[in-house]
Formats: sequence, structure tokens, C-alpha cells
Amino acid sequence: MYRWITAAALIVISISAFSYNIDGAKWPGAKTHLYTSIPGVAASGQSWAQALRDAAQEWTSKTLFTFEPRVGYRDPCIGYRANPAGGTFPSGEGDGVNGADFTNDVCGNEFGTNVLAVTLVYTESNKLGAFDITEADIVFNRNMTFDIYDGTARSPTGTDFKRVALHELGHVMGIGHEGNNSAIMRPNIGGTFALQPDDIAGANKLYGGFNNCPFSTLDFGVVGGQLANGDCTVQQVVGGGSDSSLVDIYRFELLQATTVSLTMNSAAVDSVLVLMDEKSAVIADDGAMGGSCHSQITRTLPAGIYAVLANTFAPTANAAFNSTCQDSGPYRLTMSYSSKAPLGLGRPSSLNGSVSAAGFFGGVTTDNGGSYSNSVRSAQEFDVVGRIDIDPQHRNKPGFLVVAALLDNGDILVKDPQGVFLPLNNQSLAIPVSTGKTLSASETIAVLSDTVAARLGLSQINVRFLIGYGLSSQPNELYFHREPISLVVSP
Amino acid sequence: MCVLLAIAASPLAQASTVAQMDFDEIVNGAELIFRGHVLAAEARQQPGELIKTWVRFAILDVVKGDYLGDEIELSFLGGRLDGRQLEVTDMIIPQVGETGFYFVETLLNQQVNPLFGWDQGHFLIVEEPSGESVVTTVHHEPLLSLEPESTGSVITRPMNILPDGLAQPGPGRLSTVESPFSQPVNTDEFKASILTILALPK
Repeated sequence: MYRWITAAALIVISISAFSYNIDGAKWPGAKTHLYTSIPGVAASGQSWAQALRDAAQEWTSKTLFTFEPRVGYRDPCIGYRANPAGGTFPSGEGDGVNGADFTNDVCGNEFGTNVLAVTLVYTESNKLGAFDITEADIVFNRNMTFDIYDGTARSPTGTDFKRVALHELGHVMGIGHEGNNSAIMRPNIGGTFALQPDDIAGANKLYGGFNNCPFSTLDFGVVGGQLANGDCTVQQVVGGGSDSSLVDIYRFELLQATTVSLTMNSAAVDSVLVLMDEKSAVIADDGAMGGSCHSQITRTLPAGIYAVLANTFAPTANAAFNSTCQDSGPYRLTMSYSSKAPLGLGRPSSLNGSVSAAGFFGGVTTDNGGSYSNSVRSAQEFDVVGRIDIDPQHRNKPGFLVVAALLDNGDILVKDPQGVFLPLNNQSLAIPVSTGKTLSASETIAVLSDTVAARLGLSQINVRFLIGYGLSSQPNELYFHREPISLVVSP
Repeated sequence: MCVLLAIAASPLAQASTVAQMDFDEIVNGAELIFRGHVLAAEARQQPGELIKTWVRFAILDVVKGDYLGDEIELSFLGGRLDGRQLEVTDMIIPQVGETGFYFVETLLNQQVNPLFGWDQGHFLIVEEPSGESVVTTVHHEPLLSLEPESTGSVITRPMNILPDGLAQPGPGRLSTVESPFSQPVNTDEFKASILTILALPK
């Protein structure tokens, strides 16, 4: 996280054989729209609009970026000129609409000699040391001769419009010129009329987002981490920019709409949390303002895949802001939730790879099922409940239920038939059965009931529970879930 | 040494945004050619206009044209104002502190880029450790002069202005291969080349 608005330095990133040129300026969410209905038809008989759509589709189909072509015409110059009357539209800050057309000039400015096309891009600085593109428009010089064709660099009928459009659309996406490798983004047009591996690698690096770095899976609960030299940086996440701060990345998946709370606690690191969606668009951030080293984000999120960036400030910014917090060191990341119903616990799994259609749900409730969370105070009374929707093929058959608790120190406890959690016997290969019974369609499991952590002498603990079931006819197979039921007790 | 500039591109070569031109086209097409030093650059937006960056140059030497002032201000479309930025892709705005040769297309019209052929009319002057000032492209690629062949010297540049597969070393062509006889072009030679082209019958 960069604390100040800064200019994005032009950075040439070289990875393996590719040498594409990106600086981190990009469209949030890895997509944008484009009005494509340029009037007219080329000498070849193809319409300009279709060629532009084809070029956009080529980028979309071959890279992580998505152009959403819209049928319709939009004047590419609208909104760029400041209104002489003052604050009314157009403000001179663009109109937020991406258009394209042949024009006689560039919104009031002469093209100049031999200029084929100009792409105007509006950007705004963001908090990650780079720029968000907010609008891009392409104007093709009406006074130049264009046609549409593949193959050689130039035809007597004119310059190939589609490869110019491909190139300009690359600029729309935020890709600069490539000087070394074969690419549509080379500064000159040659016989290349389709995207090349270097173009695709550049786009995917720019829009790879958190996938550009190693990440860990995050479950509800608490994890400990450490920001240290060698970690990924925000520059790597955003594919450029000026933010060299360290970042650890955690990915999580929600199977239903959930209110999620993320807290990064540290006595050392000047914590910054960034929440991103699957396309690495920033949903929320918190920069630990107010003198604390901690940061916190709460958002209600639809089902989907998300990433949390456990981050800090770039060294120079940090030093100037909060002398008690550092730009590296250990931290604890807590993810909690609140929900009206028990959470889905991820996709079903099994010990021996059997496939099932079972569903697993669970959560912690302090109001007898009125709401669910994973976070309670040590003095609060709570229940931990689980529910298994048994695979239809397993219903009404003799079977068993299993309950296990995973502690932070690595200990594993299993619930015995008397309802007592005991250490797992590592010497036994048998599945530790909690309850034997004929399986019904839905099994409700009271993992913990009417529990108060303080009465057990616990003021702070992080426990993950797993529930599962099996069939008596398959005593060595266990059906369970991938995401545990989280319980976080705090003082 | 009289250096005949022969950095003409192949007829097939063209930039994606600005079609490639022969060097003599650029020399002859420019209304004003000067050696200058960038003193300041400021983004502004006037009512009814787009964001532009106004670049103020100290004029060190007028190579072509009748400009008499000590300074000149040119506007380039785009720039950053209050955290938002209008960028014209492919355009390189001269940076404060740089010194170079600037080929101005016209002083009469508001152009996206006032330099003829955009980066083709924008050269940098770099002082080498030896103290000699040599000329590079705006992309910091050196201009190299080759030993004269039958008609004199030629200057080569790397193939960034040539389309794929069209790099063919030789007089009037561009080369990615540095000749063992190559040497950087200094400012005097570069100016002399411009004057030579201007002196040729049109």
C-alpha cells in the first residue's frame, strides 16, 4: 500500500523470454466495455465495426482481460474538453464511455502528418502505487487510407485497420510498446496481424493480479504470518507501479453471501489489509490509520473467490507516518463472519477418493441458532453446530458420524461416543467414531453445547472442527468437508 | 566528415500510430528544427480543451526556420492534473532537463504532438564520458555512422523502426548490426546532416 499519490514510473519487466512493457496502469476488474459501431465498410467488404469487435475478441479469448463489446456508437471525444461554463458536463474528465471512430482530428487537435490512430486514456492514481484506467477512446485518422486484411504489412488499398486496432486496444488495456520480441505491441507494424506470445504474456502479467504471487488458502479463523524480505511486493501483484511494500496473499472462497470481517493484528507491522475479488479488483482496504498498527475490513460479500492482501506500507512512507510500526515483521490475520444460517463448509471430500453429493454446514451460535459466527468472547455461552446433508445413496443405511477438533498447537482431538473430546490415537488406523446410527437425510451434530470458554479456563483459543460420516459397509471410508468450522475465542 | 543521413525506413515500415517516414521527409517537412533544452513542463486544462502539457524549451540553436526567440513553448496533448492523467499512447513528452534536437511540424496549428512524426522528430543529446555530445533517438538508441561506401556515410539505427524481418543492413537501410566501422554521431555531424538534406534540390 502506498500512502501517497505518486507518479507511476515506467518499468520494463522481463520474465523468461518475454519483454513486454507494462507499468501497472490497468482496468480494475480486468475488463472494460467498448462501443464498436464505427460506421462504414472497408474496401475488402468487411465492416470497420466487425473488425474492431474481432480485435477486441482476440484479446478477450487469449488473455485474462475481457472486452465487452457493445453495439452502438459513441463519439470518442465526448467529455474530454473542459466546459467553458464551469462545473457542468462535460467536465473535461471524460464521460466514462469507451468509444471509437474515424475522425478528422483528435478532439480538436490536429493529428499531424502520417498519424494513423490515437488512443486517449484517462487514468486515476490508486492506493497501490499505480493507476486505474477509467476511460479509453480510440480515434482513427479519417485522412489516412485503411483496409482490412491479413498477411503482409501493407496493401495498395491501405493500412490494415484490424492490426492497428489490435495494437491500440493493447494500449487501451494498459500495455506499452514491446521493443524486442515479435508482438502486435511492437512500435511498428509488420507482417504480424495476430496476438503473439509476448502480447499475451504481457496482458496476463498485467491482469494476473494476486495470481502473480504465491498465495495460501485462508479459512475462517486465525493464521499467523510474517512480512519479510523475499515476500511478494505490491508491484508484483499489480504488474508495475511504484509500491514496493511487502505482501502476503491469502485466497478464500465463499459458497454463499456472507458478512466477512478481516483483522490484521501486529505489534510490529504497520498493517494494511486489501480485499480483492477474483479479478484482483480492490473491494476494500484499510491502512491502520489512527496510530494503531492494526487494520480491519468488514464487508458483506456475494458467493465467490476473494483474496486478502496482508500488506504494509512502502518503507519510505511508513517511516514518515508511524514510528511505532515497521514495514516487516510478524502478524496475525483473523477472518470471522456473521450469517443468519450455518455456512457451507466447502466441497465434499473423502479419505479414499469416493465421490459424494453430501453437503456440510456448520457454525458457532450464541443465540440458539438465530445467527452464526465464528467469533465469541470467552465469557459468552455458545454452541458449535454442524449439519450434514447425507448423500441420497447413503441415506437410511447403517453408518457413523465423526467429530474432530484441530488445535493451534497441532493437537487433534476426536469426540468419543460419550461426547468427550480425547486426543486422537495415532496408533490406530480405525476411524474414530463419535456416533453409530442409521443415517437420515440430514444429520445435525452438536459439536459443543452451552459452552463458556472462561469456565474451562480459556480466554483465547482458535479451534477448527471437522465433521464427517461413513457407512458401516465401508468402515475405512470417511466423507467430510474441506473447510473447517472455525471457533475463535477472544478475551 | 560529411554524413549523409540515410535512416530512411523501408517503404513497408510504419509505426502503429504514426507511419514511418524517411529522415529527409522529416527534415523537409518540419517548419522549425532546433537544438534545445527543456526548462519546464506543466499540465493545464483550458476551458473547451483537453489536458495538455506545455513544455518550455531554451533554444540553443535554430537549424531550420526563422524563429528568433530565446525560448519556445510547445503543447503536447495529455498530462497529469490533480491525480488524474490523460495519456496519449505512443507519445513521448520531452522531459525537464533533457537536451535534444526537436523537429516541429508547425507553429500554427494545435497538434496532438507538435513534433513531426512524433518520436521520429525527437532526438536526444547525450554527453559521453569522453565529453563529446552524441545524438540518440528518444528511445536512447544510438545513431551510428558507417564508413562511407560509394556515396558517402550512412547512419543506422536499431530496427525498432523496421517491420519484422525487414532489417537489411546497407546504405539507405537500417541495421541492427553495428558495423565494426561504426561510431556515434555527434551533434555537429547531426546538424550537418540536416543542413545537407536541406541544401539538396527539392
